[in-house]
Amino acid sequence: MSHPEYSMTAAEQERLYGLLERIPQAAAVVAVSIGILVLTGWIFGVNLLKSGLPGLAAMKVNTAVAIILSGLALFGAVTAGRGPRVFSRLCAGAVLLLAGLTLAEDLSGADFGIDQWLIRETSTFAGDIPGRAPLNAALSLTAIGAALLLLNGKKGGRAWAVNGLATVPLAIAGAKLLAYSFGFEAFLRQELDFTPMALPAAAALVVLALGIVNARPGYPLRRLLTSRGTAGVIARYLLPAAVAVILLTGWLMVQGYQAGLLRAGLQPAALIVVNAIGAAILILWAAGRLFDMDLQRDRLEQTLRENEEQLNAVLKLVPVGLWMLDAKGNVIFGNEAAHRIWAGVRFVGVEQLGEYKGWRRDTGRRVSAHEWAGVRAVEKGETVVEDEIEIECFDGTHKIILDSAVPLRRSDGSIRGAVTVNQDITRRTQAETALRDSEKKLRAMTDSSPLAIFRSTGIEQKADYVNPTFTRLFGYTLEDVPTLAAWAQRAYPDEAYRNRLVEEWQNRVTRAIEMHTAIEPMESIVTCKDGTTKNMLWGFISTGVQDWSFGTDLTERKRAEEELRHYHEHLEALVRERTSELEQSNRDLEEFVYSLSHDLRVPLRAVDGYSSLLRSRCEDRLDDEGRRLLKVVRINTGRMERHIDAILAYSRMGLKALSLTEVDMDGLARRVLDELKPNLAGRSVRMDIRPLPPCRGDVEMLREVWANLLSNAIKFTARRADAMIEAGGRTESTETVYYVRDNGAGFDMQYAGKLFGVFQRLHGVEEFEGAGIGLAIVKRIITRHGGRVWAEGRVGQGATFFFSLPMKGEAHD
Amino acid sequence: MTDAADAVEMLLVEDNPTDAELTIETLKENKLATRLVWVKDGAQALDFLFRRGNYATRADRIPKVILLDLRLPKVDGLEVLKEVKADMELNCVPVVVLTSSREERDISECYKHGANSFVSKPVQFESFANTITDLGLYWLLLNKTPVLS
Repeated sequence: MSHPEYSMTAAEQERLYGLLERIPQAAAVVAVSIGILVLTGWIFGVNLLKSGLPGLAAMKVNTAVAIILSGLALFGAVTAGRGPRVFSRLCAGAVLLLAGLTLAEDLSGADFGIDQWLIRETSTFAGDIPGRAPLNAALSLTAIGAALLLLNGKKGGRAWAVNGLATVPLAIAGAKLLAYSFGFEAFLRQELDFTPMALPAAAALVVLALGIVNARPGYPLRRLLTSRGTAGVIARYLLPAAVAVILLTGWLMVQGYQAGLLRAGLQPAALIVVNAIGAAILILWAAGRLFDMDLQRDRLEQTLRENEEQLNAVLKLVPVGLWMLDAKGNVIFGNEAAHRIWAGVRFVGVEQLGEYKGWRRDTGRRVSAHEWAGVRAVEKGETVVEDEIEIECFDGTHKIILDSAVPLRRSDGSIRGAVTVNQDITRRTQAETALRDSEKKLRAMTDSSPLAIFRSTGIEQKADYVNPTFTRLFGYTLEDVPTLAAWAQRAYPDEAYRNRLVEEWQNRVTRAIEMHTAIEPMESIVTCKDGTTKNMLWGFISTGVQDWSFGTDLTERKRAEEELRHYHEHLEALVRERTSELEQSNRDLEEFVYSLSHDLRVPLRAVDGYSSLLRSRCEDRLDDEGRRLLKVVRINTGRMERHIDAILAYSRMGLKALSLTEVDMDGLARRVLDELKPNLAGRSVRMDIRPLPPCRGDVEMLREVWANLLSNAIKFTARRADAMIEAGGRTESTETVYYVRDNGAGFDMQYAGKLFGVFQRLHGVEEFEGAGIGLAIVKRIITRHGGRVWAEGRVGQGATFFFSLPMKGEAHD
Repeated sequence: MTDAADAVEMLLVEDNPTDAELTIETLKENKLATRLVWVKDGAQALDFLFRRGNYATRADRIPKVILLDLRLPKVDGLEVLKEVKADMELNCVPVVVLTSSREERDISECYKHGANSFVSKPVQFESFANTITDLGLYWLLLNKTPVLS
């Protein structure tokens, strides 16, 4: 501002306002003082106090009383509280009554007997009725009384009525005051027969009137004087200056005339000239000031316009929706972004605000007209910050906004409207929801993953997540392993192993960075919380912020691999054994079939041959020879039968599966021997079975072994009178060896290798009956048990047959 | 048999007494088995041929023909055949393999080792008798063998 002196600062205005506010009280004090002085003058007969200046008219007693009452009424009217108001009203009413009655007397010439009711007066002036206020004073006081009464009315009184009434005493008493000060009061009274008014009365009435027009802040004079605009300048500067110039020139004219310096004819001319010049100067001066103020205002307006343009540009550009509401909550403005967000703007009042549809995101409830941020700002003065609302736009789509508002206030603090800001956070919310969803999914996945998962964050590698599988596998919770280092300490307690792992891991990380590949998975042996270990395969993912480790439990797989390898090896051995067995079996079978083709023909031929002989030779008689031949037939038939049995027995031994149990060999051998005793047929044989160690084997097959060996011994000792059969056994380092010894026919060691072959005989059939298959069966059984058979013997001195069985667990099949 | 030891024309190596008897009876009926020695296993056959064991004292005469069974106790027929044919003196003696076998394997094995004939014993006695008769007639009467000192 270039000319601040013409206008006012807010502080100056405040000061002036305060000054003017004290005028009514000051006026009241002055008026009451004047009234009391006049009354004192009447009581003590001091004329000077009654008239103010010597020789002038005295103020009437009633007038003084009315002025005192008026002063009190004015004071009460501007004092806060109910008491002073009532008092003020009573005083004003009394003034109006007294002044009104006096006025009525003046106008009608009647005498109501009130003029002399306090003090008796003997008037010395012409036209003066003793004790009665003149018409102008009565009229002025009546106006003041009425004005004061109105002033106390509700709503602070009717401003223009009060001010209008106050101008009556101001004009009348003001003129009287001028006349006194110009010294032509007496002249006026004599020449114009003007009603006299005492000087104190005129002064008191002017003071009271000034007090009344300043009684309320909103009254025109006070508003004009405190105005910061042109009116204020005029009221404050031009008005007093103009009044002062006119009064001064008038006074100078009068004085000059009275001193005889001016002739009578010249006086009006001089007055006109001086006033014209004075008025011109004043108006030019005021115009100059106003011009400056206009310039100033233009500049202000320019600035305001520029500001407004800037504001409009900003409003247009800002991405947030901006709304303006007036004091009643009507929507009066919405910027482009507001249009965009809502797909339109509706300039409606609060009652139609339901057209804007929204639901609070926190409660889901519909936002009513009075709940919108802007309306709350207008109606309650609330400042609303970011209500999250889901809105339905005017095109039917849904969005999520943040609704904020702040009330706009006038200088007196009253609300004149509100600014509302809408921020469209649909996308942000969607992104947040999507992020939350994806985090939730990720969490669900990691929680239910069969992999052990460990996540660490930041440079300190602080662990912030382990999944349930991790805890189930290792027993460690997040509290047990708060950092990667803590995990390494507990999982790999052996320092050397831990260091090796860390080094290896760092190598892989380096390699992965160089090759732009993922970190190669790595195996480790983790020590669990309970001290057991787990073989793990770890994969790593780093997102820059978080490092993830995923572990697969290889423990079971490793064990399974180990088992599989074991089975594999075992299987190979089994296959080898089976293969050799099969080969043996095939060889045996071949031999068997070969033998079958050869030997079965012999007895058959015999049957046929001897039958033929019987027929051809002994046809007509059946003598001894015939009977013998027939007997032979019978014997051969029996032989053939035994052959077939033996063959069947042998093949059974090759087909039957082994069923291994603990076998009490001692008991078994003795039982078999008992069963064979009938075969001894009265022979005397010395049997000696030594205690036999137990073994593991198929009890039915071992029975067959004993049966064959013992029956062989019985058979081949048949021709000895001192037959002796002995059985025994001993446990050696890897096998248990059993034997059956006899002192029978024996055999030549030269042919020992043939003993156990199928259909091998070292003796002719005539010598010892038998199919030649018993020892082959023995060999087959023992071989299948993983054992060996062998024999020692000498012709005529007996034979010993040995067989061995492997120790527990070493038998196969 | 011992009375014929000096004039052995045929050695019968047969463990089965019925087969042996049927053979001998058939030859007898045709008057062909007058000088026949029957041994019951390969060992006895070799003892006889090489004059060992029980036969160490017999006269130094070798048979005109050997009827050899294959399946024999102690030493089987093929073994006997090998030893006979390996012997410089005995390898001229015709060996007729007389067996129940019809196995191709046996036939080829026997010829490889110098068998002079391979004859299967028919199961039917009539055929068996005819075969034996034919063998006796052929090898004892028809066939000529080198005269050994």
